[in-house]
Amino acid sequence: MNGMFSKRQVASMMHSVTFFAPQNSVPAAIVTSSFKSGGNVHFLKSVSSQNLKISTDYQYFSTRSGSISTKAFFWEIFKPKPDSSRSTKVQELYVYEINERDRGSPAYLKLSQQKDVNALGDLVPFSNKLYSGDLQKRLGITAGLCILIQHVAEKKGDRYEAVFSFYFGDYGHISVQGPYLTYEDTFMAVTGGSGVFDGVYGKVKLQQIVFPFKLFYTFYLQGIKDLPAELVVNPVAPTPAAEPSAAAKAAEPGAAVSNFTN
Amino acid sequence: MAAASAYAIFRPSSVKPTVTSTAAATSLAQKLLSFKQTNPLFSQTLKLSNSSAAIAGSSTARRSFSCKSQTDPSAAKVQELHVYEINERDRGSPAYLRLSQKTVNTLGDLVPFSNKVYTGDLQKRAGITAGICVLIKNEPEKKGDRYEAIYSFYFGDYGHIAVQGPYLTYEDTYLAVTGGSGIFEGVYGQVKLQQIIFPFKLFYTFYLKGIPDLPAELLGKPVVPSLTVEPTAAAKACEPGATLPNFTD
Repeated sequence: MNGMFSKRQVASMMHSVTFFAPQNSVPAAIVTSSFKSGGNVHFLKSVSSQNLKISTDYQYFSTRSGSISTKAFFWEIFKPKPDSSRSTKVQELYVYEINERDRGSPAYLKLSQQKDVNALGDLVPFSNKLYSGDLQKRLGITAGLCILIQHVAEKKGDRYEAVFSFYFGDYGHISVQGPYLTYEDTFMAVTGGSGVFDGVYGKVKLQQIVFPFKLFYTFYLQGIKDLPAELVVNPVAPTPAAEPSAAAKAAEPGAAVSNFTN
Repeated sequence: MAAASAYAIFRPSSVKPTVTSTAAATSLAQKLLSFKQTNPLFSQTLKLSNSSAAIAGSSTARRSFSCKSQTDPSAAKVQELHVYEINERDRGSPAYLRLSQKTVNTLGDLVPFSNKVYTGDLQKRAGITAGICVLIKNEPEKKGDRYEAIYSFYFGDYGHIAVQGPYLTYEDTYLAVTGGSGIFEGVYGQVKLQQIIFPFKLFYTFYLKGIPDLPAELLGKPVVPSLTVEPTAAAKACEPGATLPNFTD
């Protein structure tokens, strides 16, 4: 729970801000989409005030719902007014996908007409290992298909349409669909899930660290209850040298979630 | 707005507070930016820089403090979005993979594809579709096939919409909208597929829920689908002003 404010701190922050009915409601979806370019940290740093201590840590105003009624009262005023009946709070989840080359993955099926270059028709089923964002626990696996759409010569890479799932052992799974570009970061859609992720929606950011062996994902999940504490970790910053702990790699008890998917 | 703020006090407690992490912190900051304009006293206690987060298409006029719209799913606003998907035969698409090795279309055949997408008024190049059709069965009496289609529509900087559902070469179908990114993050609903010329020209009508108002650029009056509809020359050539920002290609 590092970097989170205590309930008392949040309540006192809220008391320090007099409420007015918002003149301009900002829908949550647009607010999150403004982060796509990675400018969010700069924006929050510009909000300097004695009364509001907004951390630029990974965990910002992370509060648990349904606790202090006073806090809930103030947050209700500030809550962006969405255009739907199902907007809820956004929870961030961080995972590492690592190809340890022991699962026969990827299986590049060269099915297109062009034999010497990647072209529409090639299919790439794959399955890699999944670790928690702090690289301390083995979570499970990814599993799915990358459909090659086009080779992008000027970027020296390819565009794929990716349809796959992340498996978290007894916790359930998250399904995603969207673009995978071998030459830049992308956002994919979270299409659904099971277990603790039942009813989930939102988006996930894919950051490629070492093509195609090491990837870092940041999920922005909505529509589900608070994630289990075991999954809410301070992530290790993605670098090519980031490695899971030896215990996590060996999936030792205590370094893997319950019935981690394999 | 005083009445609205009073109304908010009586909001039922079953509606959860929605604040966590980055989204709420930014929305809080943006609320405070607006407060600064209404109450000069705030300018001393809160040093807020003027950050302009581009809010595409937000319409405060349509916001309502009604509790009902928050908790009643049937009252969710539906937005219609029209697009044309056109195969101009310059993307190597479709790639029919006859993996069943049968002469007639059979389960086992896979068809990855990628075509161009234009706005419904055929004035602007929007981006591309990208995905796969999984052949399920051939329907001889309908002289067509049933596919299960899984693909996305890309709209350049606006983001993408992911869909899944039936594609019947012989009749119109509805697919599920499974999600999206960018301005379409959190989207749900369905999309109607109308085939104009198999398999080169298709017209889609999205019925989208769960997202803020779409930008005007996407909501031009759609050209009525017919055999001869064509995008404007400027849109086909992707001239500046005839495309969405950083249209996907």
